[in-house]
Amino acid sequence: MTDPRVPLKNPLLAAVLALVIPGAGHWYQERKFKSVIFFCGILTLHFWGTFLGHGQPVYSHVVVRSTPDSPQYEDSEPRSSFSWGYAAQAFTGLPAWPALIQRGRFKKTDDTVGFLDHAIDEQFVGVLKLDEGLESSRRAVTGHLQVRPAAEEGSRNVSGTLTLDESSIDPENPIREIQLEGPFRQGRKVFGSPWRRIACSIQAADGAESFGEIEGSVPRSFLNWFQAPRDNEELDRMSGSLARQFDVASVCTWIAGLLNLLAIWDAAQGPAYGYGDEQPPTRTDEEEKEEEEPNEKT
Amino acid sequence: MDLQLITQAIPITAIVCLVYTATRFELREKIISASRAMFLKTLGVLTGIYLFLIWFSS
Repeated sequence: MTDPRVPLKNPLLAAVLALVIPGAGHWYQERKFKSVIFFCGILTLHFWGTFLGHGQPVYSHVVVRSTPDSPQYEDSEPRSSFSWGYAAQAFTGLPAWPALIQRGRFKKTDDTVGFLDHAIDEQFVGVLKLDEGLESSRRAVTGHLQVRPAAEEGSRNVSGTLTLDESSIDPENPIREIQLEGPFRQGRKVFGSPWRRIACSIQAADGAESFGEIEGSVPRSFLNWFQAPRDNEELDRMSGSLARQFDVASVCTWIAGLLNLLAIWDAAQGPAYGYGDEQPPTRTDEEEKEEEEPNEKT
Repeated sequence: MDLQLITQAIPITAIVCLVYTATRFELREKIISASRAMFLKTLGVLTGIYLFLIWFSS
């Protein structure tokens, strides 16, 4: 039974408030000391984990790769499975719920895969693939990508340039600017990676024949990758770059959610072990009872 | 990296202990004293495990 000194007010409302914002239910119940502990403690853990994991540890689904091609290139909803870590993270409340919105956006058919309706002017990281006669070559390059659709209303064909960084220029073939023209592919608009896949054909110097392509990534806007479903390739990339730090980050966000589950229970039912000033039964009390019992019998 | 993660573990443990004990009791003094005790016990156990693993892997 809940201690009458604990002001639960409307327990259901308090529990809902505690679920939405950690500590809000206790603030409503005027248990402000605990409210501050829950708000600061749980949100610190959640945001510290998010910071450690470079904004990546919270996501509701993991995309299952069904083809050799990246699932970023699938225009219909890629097959995905629920991430059980999110079952804990979701209890953190508002800070973890954008993952549900991103999941909703992710499920929609993406018309922008293979279709460009606006110019791209971004930093590019990827691979330059060249077909030179019977030989073909691949090398990693970075540079500045500028492409625009062939038609104003948008097109599957694009034209533009890739201006290579100094470090990417081949000393034997010092071409700085690569002309791009032809079919174009780009990854899904909403996907849990800060890098959006992109591939485009290269136009030969005489402008007549395609002789290779660039394939790589350009930055994806924050609102389109934050807490969105991602594939194992992206998770491998995070684990590769952050190592154990990514695991610690994920665990922090899980613990934050699980602690808020306890806080929600506390808002609805009161503290689990009582008010805190209860005295354990002393030996003298027990002895007194034992002494009283034989007297009653006689 | 290891040292950095271990350093981070201390404030994280403190936060977890404080929030957990806040869900167990209502009285401010009891929350603080119980979380302090839990923090010290947890830190002791973690240190023990860490030292054991160092000894075991050497």
